[in-house]
Amino acid sequence: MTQEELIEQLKSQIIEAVDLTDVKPADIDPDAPLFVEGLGLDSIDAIELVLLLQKHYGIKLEDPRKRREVLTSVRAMAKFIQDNQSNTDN
Amino acid sequence: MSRIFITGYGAISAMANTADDHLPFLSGEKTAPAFAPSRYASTSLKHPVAEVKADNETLRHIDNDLTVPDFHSRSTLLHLHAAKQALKMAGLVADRQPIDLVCATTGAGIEVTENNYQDLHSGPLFKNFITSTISTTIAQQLGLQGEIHMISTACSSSANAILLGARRIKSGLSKHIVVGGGDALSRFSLNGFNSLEILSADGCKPFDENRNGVTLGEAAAYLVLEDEESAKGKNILAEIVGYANTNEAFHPTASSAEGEGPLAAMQAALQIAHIQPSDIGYINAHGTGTIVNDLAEAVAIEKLFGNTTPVSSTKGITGHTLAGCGSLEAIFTLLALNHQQIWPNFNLQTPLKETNIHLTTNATSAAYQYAMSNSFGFGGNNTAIIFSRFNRP
Amino acid sequence: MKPSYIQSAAALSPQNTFDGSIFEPLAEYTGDCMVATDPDFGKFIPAARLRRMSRFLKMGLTTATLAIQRAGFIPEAICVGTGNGCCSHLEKFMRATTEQGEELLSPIPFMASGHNNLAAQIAMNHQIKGYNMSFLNGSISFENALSDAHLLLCEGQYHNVIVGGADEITDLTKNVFRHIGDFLFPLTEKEISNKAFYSEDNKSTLLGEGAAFFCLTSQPSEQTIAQLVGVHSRNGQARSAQSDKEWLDSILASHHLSAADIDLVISGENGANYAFNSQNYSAVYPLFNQADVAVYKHLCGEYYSASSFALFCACQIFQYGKIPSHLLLTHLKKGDAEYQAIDKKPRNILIYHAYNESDIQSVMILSCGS
Repeated sequence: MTQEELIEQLKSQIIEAVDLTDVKPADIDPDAPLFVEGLGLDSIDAIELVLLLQKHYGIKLEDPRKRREVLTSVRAMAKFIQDNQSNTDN
Repeated sequence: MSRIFITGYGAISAMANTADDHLPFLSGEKTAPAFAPSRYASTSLKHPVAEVKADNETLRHIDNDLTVPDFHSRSTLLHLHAAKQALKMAGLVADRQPIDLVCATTGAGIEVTENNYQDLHSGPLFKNFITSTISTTIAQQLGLQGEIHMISTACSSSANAILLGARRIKSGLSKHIVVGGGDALSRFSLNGFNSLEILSADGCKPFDENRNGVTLGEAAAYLVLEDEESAKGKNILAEIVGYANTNEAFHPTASSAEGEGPLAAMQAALQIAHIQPSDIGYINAHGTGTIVNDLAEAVAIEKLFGNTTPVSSTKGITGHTLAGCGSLEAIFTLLALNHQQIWPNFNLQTPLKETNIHLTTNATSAAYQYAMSNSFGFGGNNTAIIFSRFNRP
Repeated sequence: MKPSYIQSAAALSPQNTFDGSIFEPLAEYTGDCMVATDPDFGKFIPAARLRRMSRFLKMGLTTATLAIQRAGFIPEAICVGTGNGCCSHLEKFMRATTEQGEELLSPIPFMASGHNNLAAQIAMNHQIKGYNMSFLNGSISFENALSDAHLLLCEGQYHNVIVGGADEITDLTKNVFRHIGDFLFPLTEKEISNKAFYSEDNKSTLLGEGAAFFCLTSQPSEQTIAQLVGVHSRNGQARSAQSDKEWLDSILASHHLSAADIDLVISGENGANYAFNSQNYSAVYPLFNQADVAVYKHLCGEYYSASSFALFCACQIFQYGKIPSHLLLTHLKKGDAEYQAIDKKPRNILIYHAYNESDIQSVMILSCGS
């Protein structure tokens, strides 16, 4: 899966996970911040996104510093998934 | 307007089955039982908790003169036991006068519902689904024929029960009122705090730099409040002189880092009491052991009290008892006041770095007139109550 | 205690009360429950907040917002009564812990399941930072909240407060209440119409839901709808017709009223079987033999905080100076549920509620605003 495809898939999964019923995947800018500005998510949503990574991609993201790094934008999440999946392939 | 006198109290927690039996654990004479995985909640989570030692069967027979039907939840049993102690200590006889009641719960007996919700109709178990079951069972079992209230404001619930009782006494609406609350441990609450990533894996360390969440506990605690006329000639344990409930209107579960909500509650309580921050000799903090709560509370305390007033959270030995903590810690605050002691912060090694509030680490003697107890809950719900030592005329 | 003053009232119910009033023909229900008609919640609640809300929260917050709009001021304090609270989120989280084996649980339903979440959401949406209290106490949840609000205004620290009651129908409440039998709500086994609730041969009632909110002040104003004189409840164990009379007489006397001053009794009688209601209600009617008796459960269905809907009816009767005929028990007993407005402005209304449940009784007394 290309990064762009992964981004599209992630958008739908995020909408479902944090209940953004009024938002369509096309409305989400993959480079916009997920928290406060942009989608306006909060600390509870962050937990939902961590769950999303674990449920759909089998990746645990427990370290709080790493979380702040990864959960910045949809693209950052996609990159993190690709990095970790290729790691496990090795 | 009447003064508000406390004439009785009762409590049950992981440490002890009566209120006064908590004293040696608070003073350090005895070591509190270590936190351990739950034995009675139907959970597979191995997080340590502070659980009441007795099983339901033992709790049901702890009072010989009560006959409690066996469908009742563990929560109801804990409530009943604590309320009965308080009533007995106050020497109130229920059939001579209508005694009012304010209970507090967050789970309302969910430890039964969570195991039976698919099958609630087969027998009287469904009664635990009726939220008034705890309040009406206490009223029926103890013969209370007055007004019955039940509050549910998350972790400040039983502090608010005390607050409502105090206001009813002051205004003359109640002459004597039993106030308090509690919750049993449940799979629901354990998983809830765990899902929010605020359940400690190794035991709570309130106000510690390395704190990593709450340890849940279970308890119920009740007080009897009476007006001047009703308390005449009785052993008055302390007086409630200040109280306030405010809302932060910020976030459903988190508190703001500036501690605006806790600050407003403590300030308003001091105003009602007509005293200055420097008059408070001891603060029993909410101090749950989460990163966010403890920081917000410490910041608020520092803003209002500076760094001299002794502050401690007793959750390091009780765990966070949800709807029990407000009234349980009110009793701990009373015990501190009446024994002129300051309780320590249990499990505190490295005080949090952001503030310099006076966090005590050993039980110490001190002479003081007023003590404050804080309780904060989800939904931005903040309550502070001020107790005054009763000086016999 | 001094009276407090009701400045606005709003109700979301199975009837057209949100935009309309009780002065309309009865909306008929024949299923197994009476579901409230949802307004456009998006008009009242910002989309970012709406996303995590159960219907209970949406109904409650929207109705509270309408009451605030109608009052024209932002209240300083909040009191909420709910019998089941955020039951749907509670149920969702409870199921998830079982089905997912306590793993990978989403925190949102837990966070939203707190029974004080509605009061917290009202505070957040309207930035109300004062007193904030929630009561969860079966059938007197709303009365608990109202008496607290009344006390708050008498104390003098607060000048106004919003108070309300709300409950929603969920799968769990449906399942549980259907099996409670005569204990609480004798729900119907066969399909009945709410129009026939109060006919002689009916034995059961329908589960309902809704939200009703009121803004109260400590001082009267030109827009005052009604005076709240007092709110009382008791655990009347082993009660009898005699003890009911003594209790009600003492309440009336404490407000310098007599039974003859009450022109309208709004009764919580719910269309269940005769034995159920005669024990709880019929003994009370003769005490007020000069008053009309109105009922309301055929409008809103049976739910824990339904007495908040009764207060809404009282407010509208004062406001319009009329009584809708389809609320009068004498008409309904004859099988007449047709709507007609009767010109009659009561001076004092007594709202009475009782259940077999633990012998709890409650009374609210209201006087006309002017």
